[in-house]
Amino acid sequence: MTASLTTVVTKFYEEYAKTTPSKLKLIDAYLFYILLTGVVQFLYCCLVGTFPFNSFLSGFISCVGSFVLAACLRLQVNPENKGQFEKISPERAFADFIFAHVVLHLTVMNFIG
Amino acid sequence: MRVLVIAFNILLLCASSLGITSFLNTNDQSRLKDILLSGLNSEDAAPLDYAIRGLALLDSDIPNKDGLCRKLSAKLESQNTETLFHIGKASSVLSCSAQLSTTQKEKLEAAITASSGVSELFFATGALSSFGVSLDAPKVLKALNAALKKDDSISNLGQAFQIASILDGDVSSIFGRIEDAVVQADQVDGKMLQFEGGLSVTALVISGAYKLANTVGQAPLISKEQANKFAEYFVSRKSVQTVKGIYYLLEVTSVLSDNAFHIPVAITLASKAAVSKSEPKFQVRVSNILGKSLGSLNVVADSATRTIDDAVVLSQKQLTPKDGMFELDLMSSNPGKGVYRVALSASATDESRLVGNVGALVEVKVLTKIAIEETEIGTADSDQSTAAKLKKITYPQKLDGSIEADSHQKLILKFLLRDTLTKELVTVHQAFIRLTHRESQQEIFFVAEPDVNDAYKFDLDLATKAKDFLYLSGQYSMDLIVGDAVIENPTVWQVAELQLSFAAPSAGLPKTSKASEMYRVKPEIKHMFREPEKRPPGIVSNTFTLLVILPFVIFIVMVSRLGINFSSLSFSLSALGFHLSIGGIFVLFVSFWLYLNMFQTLKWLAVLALPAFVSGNYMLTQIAAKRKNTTKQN
Repeated sequence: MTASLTTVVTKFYEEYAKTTPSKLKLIDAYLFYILLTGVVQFLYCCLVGTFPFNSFLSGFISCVGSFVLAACLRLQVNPENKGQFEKISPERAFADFIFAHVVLHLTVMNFIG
Repeated sequence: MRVLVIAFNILLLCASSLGITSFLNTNDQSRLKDILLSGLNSEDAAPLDYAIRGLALLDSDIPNKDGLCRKLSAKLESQNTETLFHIGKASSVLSCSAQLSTTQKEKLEAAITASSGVSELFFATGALSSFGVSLDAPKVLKALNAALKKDDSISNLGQAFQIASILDGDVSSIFGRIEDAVVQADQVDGKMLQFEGGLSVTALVISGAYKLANTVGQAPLISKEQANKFAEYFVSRKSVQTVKGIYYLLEVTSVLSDNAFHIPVAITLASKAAVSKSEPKFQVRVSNILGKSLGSLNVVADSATRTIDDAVVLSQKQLTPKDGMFELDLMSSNPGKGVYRVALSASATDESRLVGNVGALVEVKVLTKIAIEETEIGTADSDQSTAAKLKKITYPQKLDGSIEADSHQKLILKFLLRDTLTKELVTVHQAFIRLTHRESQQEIFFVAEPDVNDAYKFDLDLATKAKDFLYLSGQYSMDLIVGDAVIENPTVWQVAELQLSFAAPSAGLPKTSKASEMYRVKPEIKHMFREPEKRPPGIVSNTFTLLVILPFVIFIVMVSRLGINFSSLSFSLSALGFHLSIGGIFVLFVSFWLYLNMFQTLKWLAVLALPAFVSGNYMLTQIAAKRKNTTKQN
C-alpha cells in the first residue's frame, strides 16, 4: 500500500518536473509559499488567539487573496489552457496580476492597523 | 342646620365677589406721580400730554409751565391730527395761549366726515374742543354713526363714548351702545372684568361710558357688580409703568371715584391683621378707589367665620368710627384662636351710588396665649418590666439635676398645652423636642405628638434611635419648642439636662461623625481606559514571526532549485522604471501602514501608478514582441 503510494507520488513528481514549464513551476513555488504562510497564521490564531483581530484578518486575507490571484495567473499563463484564454497574452495576465496586487495590498495595509 | 351653613357659605362666596380688595394708596399715587414727572422730559406730544393731564388728575403742581407751553407751541405746525389733539389737551390743562391757525382749523373740521375712522374723529373733535372751537353736534354724530357702522371694535366704541360725552345734541344712539360694549368684557378669575386690549382700552370705555351717562343724565347700563369688577381690575393694575397707562388709570379711577351713578368702595384692613386679649380691636378703612373717605358711613360686621371649621362668632355688629377708620372689638364676642373671615358692609343713609359695599371680606387672626402644664419627665425600661419613674416640673423652671438614661431605657416627656382664654386643651402646629449634645453642639429634633385627648407625649427609645444620635453619648440639654401661627407666645423652654449613653455601634460604622467629613474633597475621578487584552509571551510571538518568514526561505530555496534564469531580464529604461515604481508602490504601502493616512497614500499612489503603468506597458509589449519573434523563428 505504502509502496504503491510512494511509487504514485514519485511518478507524479517526475512527470511534473519533466512536463511543466519552468514559469509554471515558479508560480507553483509561489503558491506553496503562500499556502505555508497562511497555514502558519491560522495555526497561530488557533493556538494563541485572534487578539489583534484586524491584523490577523489582514494577514490572512493577504494570503488568501494572493493565493487566488496567483492561481488565476497560473490558469491564464498555462499553455494547455491557451484555447480558453485566446485573447489574453501571458504578459497581459501578469499586468492584471500586478494591478490586482496593488489594489489588494492597499486594502490589506489599510486594515492591518 | 347643615343646609343653612352651606347656604350661608354660598351667600358669602357671592358676596365675596363684591368688595374691592385694594385701592390706590398714597404710596402708589406718589410712585405714579414720579413716573409722570419724568414723562415731562419727553419731546413727543403724546407722552407730554399724558404726563401733564395725569399730574392734573393727581392735583399736583406742574413745574415749569411756561417751558412746557413753549415746547407744545413749537410742535403746533404739525399736520397730524393726533399730535394736534395732544397739544390741545395739554395746552388747555396748562392754560397756554397757543391757538390753531385757520388752515389747521379747517383741516380738522374737514376730517369730520363719514369717511373718517372713529379714532380720526376722536382726535379731531378732541383737538377742536380743547382749542375752544364749538362742534357741530349733528354733523359729528352723523360721521360717528357712519364710522361705527364700518368698524365697531371695542376701542372704537370707547372713543365714540368719549366723543359723544362732549357733544350737546341728542346722543342717545351712542349711549345705547354702552350695553353692547360692556358685554364684550372678559372675566378674569370671576373677580375682574377687562376688555381685550388691556388697561388703556378698558379705561377708555369705562370712563367714556360714565362721562356719556353724565351728559345724557341717565345711569349707564352697567350693573353694580360689573362696575365693581371693573374697579377691581383697575386697582389691580396700579403697578403700571408707562405714562399713557398711568394717565388712563388715573382718569378712570377719578371718574369711578366721582360720578353720579356708581362709586366702588374699597373696604380694607387698616391695622394689624391680628387681635388678642391685649389688643382686642382691629380697624378697617372704607374709601373710594383713590383712598378718599366717603363721608359718614354706617359700617357693620355681618359675620365673622373661623376659616378652619366655619364657626360663626358674631353677626350684625356695628363698627365704631375712629379717626376716619372703623373699629371693631372682635374679642368681645369670645372667639377661639384661629383665622377669621369678617364680612363687612358699609352704607350711607342718603347714598345709593356705593358698589361693592356689601360683604367685603377681611381676614383677621385671633391670637391667644398658651400655657404649658402638667409637665413630667423621666425614664422607663424599654421592655416595660418596671413602671416609669417620672418627675414633675413647672414651666419655666429647669429640672434640678440631670436625668440618666442608657440603651435599655426610654426617655419620656409628657405635657399639656392649655389655651389661657378658653381654658381648653389645644394642639399646635409645631411641638418639637430639641436635644443638643453639650460637647459637639450637635442637635437632633423630634416631634411631640398629641394623643386623642390632646395630651402631648414624647418617648424616645435609646436603643432604636441610637443611630440618629450617631452613637454620641454624653450630656445633652433638652428643649421644648412650641409654635403656631395663632399663638401670641411661641416658647422655647429648656426642660432638663440629660446624660445619655448609647450602646457602642456594631462594627463597620464610620468612626468620624463630624459634619465636615461629609464635605471633604472626594477622590479624583480618573478616566479608565479599557484594559488591553493579555498578550502572548514574547517567545511565542517571536517563534511565529520566524515561522511566518520560514516559508519565504523555502520559496527562495525552491526557486533556486528550479534554476530560474534571469537572462531575459533586460536592463532597458522601461524595465528599470517598472521595477522601481512597483517597488516604490510597495514601499508606499509599508509607510501607509506605519505613518501615512489614506488620503496621502492615494495621492502618492496616483503619482507612482502612472510611471508604473507606462513603463510596465512598454516593457511587457517588448517581452511579448520578443516571445513572438522566438516562436516564429522556431
